[in-house]
Amino acid sequence: MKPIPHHPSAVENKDARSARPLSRDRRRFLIRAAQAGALWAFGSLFGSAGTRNAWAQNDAPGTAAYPGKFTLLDRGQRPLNLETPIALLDQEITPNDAFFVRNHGTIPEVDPSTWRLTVEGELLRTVELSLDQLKRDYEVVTMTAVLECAGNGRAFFKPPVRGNQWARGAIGCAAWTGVRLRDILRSGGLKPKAVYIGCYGADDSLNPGQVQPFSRGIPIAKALDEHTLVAFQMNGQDIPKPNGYPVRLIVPGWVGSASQKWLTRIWVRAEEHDTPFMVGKAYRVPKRTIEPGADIAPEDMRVAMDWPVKSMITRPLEGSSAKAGRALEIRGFAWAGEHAVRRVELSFDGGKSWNNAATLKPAADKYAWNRWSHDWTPTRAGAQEIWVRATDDAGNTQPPEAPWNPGGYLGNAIHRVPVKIDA
Amino acid sequence: MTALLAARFGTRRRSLVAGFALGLLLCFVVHGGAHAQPAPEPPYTLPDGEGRDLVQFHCAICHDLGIVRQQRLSERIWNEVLNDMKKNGAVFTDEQRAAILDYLAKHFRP
Repeated sequence: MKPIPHHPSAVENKDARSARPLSRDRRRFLIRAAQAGALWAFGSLFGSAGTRNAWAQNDAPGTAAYPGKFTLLDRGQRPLNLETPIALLDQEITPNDAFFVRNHGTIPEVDPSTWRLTVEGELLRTVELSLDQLKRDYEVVTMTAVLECAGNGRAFFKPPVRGNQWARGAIGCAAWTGVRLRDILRSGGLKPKAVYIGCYGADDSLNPGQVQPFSRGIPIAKALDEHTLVAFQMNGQDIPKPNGYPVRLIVPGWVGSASQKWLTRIWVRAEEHDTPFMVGKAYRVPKRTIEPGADIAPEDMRVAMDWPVKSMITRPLEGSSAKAGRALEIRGFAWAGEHAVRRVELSFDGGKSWNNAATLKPAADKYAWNRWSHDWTPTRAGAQEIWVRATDDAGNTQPPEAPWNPGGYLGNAIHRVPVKIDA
Repeated sequence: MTALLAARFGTRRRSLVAGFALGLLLCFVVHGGAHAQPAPEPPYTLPDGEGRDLVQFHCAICHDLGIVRQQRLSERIWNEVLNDMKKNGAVFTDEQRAAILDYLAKHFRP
């Protein structure tokens, strides 16, 4: 079994928060300020960025901020939903303050000194852990992994579907520090009947009493994977409050909702977890592809699990300009859920030919994303689209349109970036 | 021609620098620095029209209206949404429900 490599910077930073010199804070501040400037300078991307009531102009979201978070794209304030603009995703590790937020209910205040995790159900004995016990009794590992909301890319489904209209920024890649869930499960003595886990957090629904708090789960095989973590740090810092402070699950390669935030309880079950967030049409996709817009019975759907292969162009940004005859680096990321990315290709003729292979950099960890880049010299002035698609090690290639489903999940359509080429 | 290109290039670079600086300034003026406080929701966040006040009242009890504003759905799907919201505890009469559905299907259609 391959050990999960430690992320040196994350380990070093463990207690660096109070000791960090001022100059570093200032540097971070200046970087953020520059990002803010970049965000505005490339503002054409966001249309009405800065206005909250975007309905009057178009579908482009406004911007919103939350304490401890950078100004991000507003996908709703109650519950808080923030999308990271692509302008801020052009780095291998997404900083905590730029990381997207997808919430269903409240953002709970959790006191880490009284926080407890209860693991019960199909176990020989119930396990109850304080934060100190969690860190002391189990091996602490750090792993870089992509976290992507199941609905990332929902805005591109035709006909349009229900839910937050995420474009491409409900995603980030971070170094997660925590303990392996399988070590905790084994310490409780897993019974043979265990087939699924159901996870619960400290958050409440926005209509308590009527609507249950958000709760999802995963099959026991994924729970026992060495990469499924009970995490207490993100990029060497406390996990930001809206991202699940103090402890959250990380189920890498799978839809983000599987990674329960503000984790307090794991119920080991002898059957599939069956809260309202697991049944009906919630976080479920058709077992077989269906016609776009068609109605589908819940029994013809299955739980959304791992993400299919996907890629994104982080530079140049949509709507930016380049110059004919001058070399330009096109770059971005590719990732593939439970698979590895095999190749990334670009097309400059609207998908007719894909003979421009990008240079692929190895991913930091199994579930981290791959950096890719391609040097390109536009030859003639005018409107140009850059298309990118990735292929995984099982031969799956990103489609021009993602398989339509009523929830708009697992949207992995190829990314098309329009740019203007000046003479 | 060369002079013209040089001038254009110069202007573009200056405007880029100016845009960047203005961007920085705006971020601090508008948002009070990189880490801003959440802005209060503006009083009217939905387009005017018959049924707007019902939507504002019934829907905003549990959630803000950002989720309404960003969706463009057919009447069939809005109807499905209202069924689910009723299960989630939304309380409205049949007449109110019909008015809400009309408003959503008219103002937030694909």
